[in-house]
Amino acid sequence: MRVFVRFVLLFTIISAISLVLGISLVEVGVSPSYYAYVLIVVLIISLFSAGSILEPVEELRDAFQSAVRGEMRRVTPKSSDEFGELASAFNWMIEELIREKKSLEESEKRFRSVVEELDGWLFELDSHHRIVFATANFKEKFGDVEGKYVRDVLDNFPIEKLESGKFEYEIIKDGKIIPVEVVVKKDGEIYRCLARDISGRRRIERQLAFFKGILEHSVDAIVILDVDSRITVWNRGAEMMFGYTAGEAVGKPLNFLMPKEHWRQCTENFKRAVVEGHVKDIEAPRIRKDGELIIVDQTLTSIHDSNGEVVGFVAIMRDITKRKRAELDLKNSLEELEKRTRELLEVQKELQQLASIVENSNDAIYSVDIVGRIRSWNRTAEKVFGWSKEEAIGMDASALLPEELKGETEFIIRRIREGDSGLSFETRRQRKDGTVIDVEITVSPILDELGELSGISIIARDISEKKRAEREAEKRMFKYDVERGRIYFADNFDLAVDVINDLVKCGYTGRVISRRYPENIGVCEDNYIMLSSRKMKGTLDPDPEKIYREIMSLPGWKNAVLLDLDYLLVKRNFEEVYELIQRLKDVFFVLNKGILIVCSESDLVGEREFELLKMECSGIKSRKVEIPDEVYEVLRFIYSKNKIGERPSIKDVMNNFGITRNTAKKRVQQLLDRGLIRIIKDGRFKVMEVTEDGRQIMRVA
Amino acid sequence: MRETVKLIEVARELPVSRKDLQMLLLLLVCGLMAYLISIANPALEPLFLALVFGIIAGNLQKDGEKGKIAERYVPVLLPVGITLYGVNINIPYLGGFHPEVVAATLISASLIFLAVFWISSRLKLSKQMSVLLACGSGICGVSAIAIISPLIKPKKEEFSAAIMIITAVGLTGAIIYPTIAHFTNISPEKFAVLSGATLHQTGIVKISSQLFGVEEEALAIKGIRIAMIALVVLVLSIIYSESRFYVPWYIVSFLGVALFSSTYLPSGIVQSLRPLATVMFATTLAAIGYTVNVGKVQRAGIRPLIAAYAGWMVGVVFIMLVIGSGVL
Repeated sequence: MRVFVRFVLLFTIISAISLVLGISLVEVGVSPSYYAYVLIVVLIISLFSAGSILEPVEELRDAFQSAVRGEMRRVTPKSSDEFGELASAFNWMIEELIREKKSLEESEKRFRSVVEELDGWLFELDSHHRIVFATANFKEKFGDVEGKYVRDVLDNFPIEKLESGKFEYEIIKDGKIIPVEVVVKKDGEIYRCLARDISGRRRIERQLAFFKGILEHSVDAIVILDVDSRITVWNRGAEMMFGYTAGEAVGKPLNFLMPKEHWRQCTENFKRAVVEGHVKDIEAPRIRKDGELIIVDQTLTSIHDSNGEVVGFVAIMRDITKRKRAELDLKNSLEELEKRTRELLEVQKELQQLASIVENSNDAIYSVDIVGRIRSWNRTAEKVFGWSKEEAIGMDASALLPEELKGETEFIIRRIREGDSGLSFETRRQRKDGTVIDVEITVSPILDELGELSGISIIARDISEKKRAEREAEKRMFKYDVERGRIYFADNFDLAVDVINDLVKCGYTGRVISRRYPENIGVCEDNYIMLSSRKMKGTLDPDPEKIYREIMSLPGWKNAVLLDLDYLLVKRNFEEVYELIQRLKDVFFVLNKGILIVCSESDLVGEREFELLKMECSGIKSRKVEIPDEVYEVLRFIYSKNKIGERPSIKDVMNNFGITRNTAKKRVQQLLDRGLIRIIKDGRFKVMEVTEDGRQIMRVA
Repeated sequence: MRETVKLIEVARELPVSRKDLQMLLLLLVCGLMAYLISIANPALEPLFLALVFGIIAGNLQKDGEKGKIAERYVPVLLPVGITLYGVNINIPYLGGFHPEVVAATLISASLIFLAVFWISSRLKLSKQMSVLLACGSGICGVSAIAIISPLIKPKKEEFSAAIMIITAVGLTGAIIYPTIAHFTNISPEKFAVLSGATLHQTGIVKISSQLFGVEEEALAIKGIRIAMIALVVLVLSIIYSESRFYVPWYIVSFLGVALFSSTYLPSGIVQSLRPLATVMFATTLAAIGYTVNVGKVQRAGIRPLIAAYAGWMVGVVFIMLVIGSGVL
């Protein structure tokens, strides 16, 4: 309306100007070309006026065109007329359109993002199974597919299954097989298909089946626990190991399998598993359903979800009870072995020491086996006997014995078999060069591992020099001409007793075995044994065997034994007694036990028996001495004392012999007069010492 | 042996095709027609007419290809046209005028220039449009616009619109001035000052002053304004140059030709060169018009028209006041 007003106004102005100009021009008398000028001016003004009027319209048109092209731009309402209103309306429309467009764009963006982010390929098929739409990722994989038949793009695509709504299918692309799950939604004539790659799912399914197999068939107990350490999975291995079925175990805490004192440790292990991820080599006891305690080797691992949160634990347990026991046994055996080895080493060391001792001993030591062969031979034996070790080993031990002692080895073995274990005596041995030496031997049995006698060991000490000196001394001291290791026969009992008493005085241990009373025969009761069938203290049964044992049991080798044969001959016949004498002779000779005197005064010993006894026994001879016996006794006393480093006084002589001072002085004066002793002062005492002449007498005697 | 080159092959390689020739011929016809009409009626500016013919031809044919051809020839034709147009500039000898007349003319021209520029700015016209309208109104109409246009590089549509508007304002003056003279009983000498100082085109000044027999005086005064173009062109080329104190060659040559033709060149030669220069420039304007869409020209709207009219009115009022005050 306002435009119309403006138009009328302009028309009026132009008409008025034209009227004024017309009048003036006519009056001035200008040429008619002025009308052409007017026309041109009017045309130009009209042109620009129209342009001015059309401007908003054209602007609107351009804006419309832009809007159609998608460029939303507003127009500026330049006036408040209809064009202005139109422009405002247009702007409102544009704003609405922009809003709509924006919302559409957002919606499209959302849809696009959903489609683009969709885990799978989305495509649409028309009723002829042509692809009418495909998402960018589908196109990226298969190229420009829109308009193509689906089977030209995807080989053997099962179009017959489209109606089923969901199916699985394998796409073969670039030589790779991609298993996909296709979900189809029919929208009118369009099939909207979403193909999702399920190779990952298949792989996981395979892995799951694999793990399930492991879980089911593992002999180890595999237990899966939730975050509260309650059992959720209990495999067959666990059932077999603990005896609980899955139904019984599921839902219970793991520590129901443990002794109470291990609960705290169990909690610690769970904490460690959470922090470190896993705890290995947990060796701990577990309780079976039947109450039996087993030892398991457990590994505890925490399970995390994709956010790294702990969702549970896996405990894998292996029964190591048998192994543990075996280990324990092995350990004990090892300890035992070590102990034995230690002992063995000690024994070996000891043996080496002993061997060293044996080897370096001053005594000759050798061993003999049961058949009499020498098995060992020390260095001293080489020196003493002359045979080297090589020569001696394997040699018959009897080669060491002089002719008269050939049966000694046999005798010793017999004695040892009878139970004598520490046999010790003086005897003789023959050296390699044939000379005979005196030795003191100690015999010990050698037992094998079964305790059977396997040989004997012999320690021999060369006492030849000692023996010779002793014999010499004894010969000088004895009143009678007797020698150790011999048996003598006396037909006079008093003589026999005198010999015994003499020997006792010279340090021998006297022993009188007789039926006669001791006071009658003048011997001390301590040295007396009564022959009697009655068994009591101090009596001996007149049995040759028992008598033999009694004599054999006498200790040492300085024994002076008197055996009264009279009562024995009454009780036993001569042959038995004679055999006893023979056996005793052997023993005394071999073992050098001392001096044995057999005596008989009765007529029970006839001529023949007497001869037989004389054959076995030596006779007793008295020694010739020029000085009276009692004086000689005193000399012998002094001599014996001097030998042991003592010098007796007159008083000692008095006490020894039980004589008065005068008697003792008289006897000492006789010896002084003969120059056999001398008196020397030892402090304020007067003591006596045998002179060289006295010693000569004693030596000759 | 030296190869002979056939002329046809050479012609083929030349950038001028048959269509180009047709186009050039069309534009030349437009220019020629405009010139001929302007001879018949000096009020109708040949440049304006060539532009209008070009617009009509272009909008009738609507041949994009030809439009491109025309566009291609504009940068070639325009500098040549400007240079040659220099012969149309006749720098007057200021000593022959009354100083008051010279002062009034210069003040009036400046006032119109500034008024148009200011009003254009107020009406939110583009700066190029404002400058074009100001120069066209204040100095020498269409030719001023055509000469300064390569310097300030306006849109083709703005250029065309400015030419049309200035022509319209000038013609309005041609129509109104006799009326003003009729109603105010102004003396012919003073009318010569009024028309010379305020009317836009030389042709219109000539037509309107003929009525009172003061054609010579009016054209002489107009000559002062025309001479201002040399100064304005120089200033504008410096303002709008891309680098400092750069003056395009065609401006220099234009100024040189103008100076040369108005001083040393014999008047006969100048007179004979003027039609050629006018036809050449008219042809250029036809080429510009050919490429212009009339709808877009129209889009300039009524505001530049108002600015141009208002600025012109300021000048008219100023001169009328000067005349009325009896200074002249």
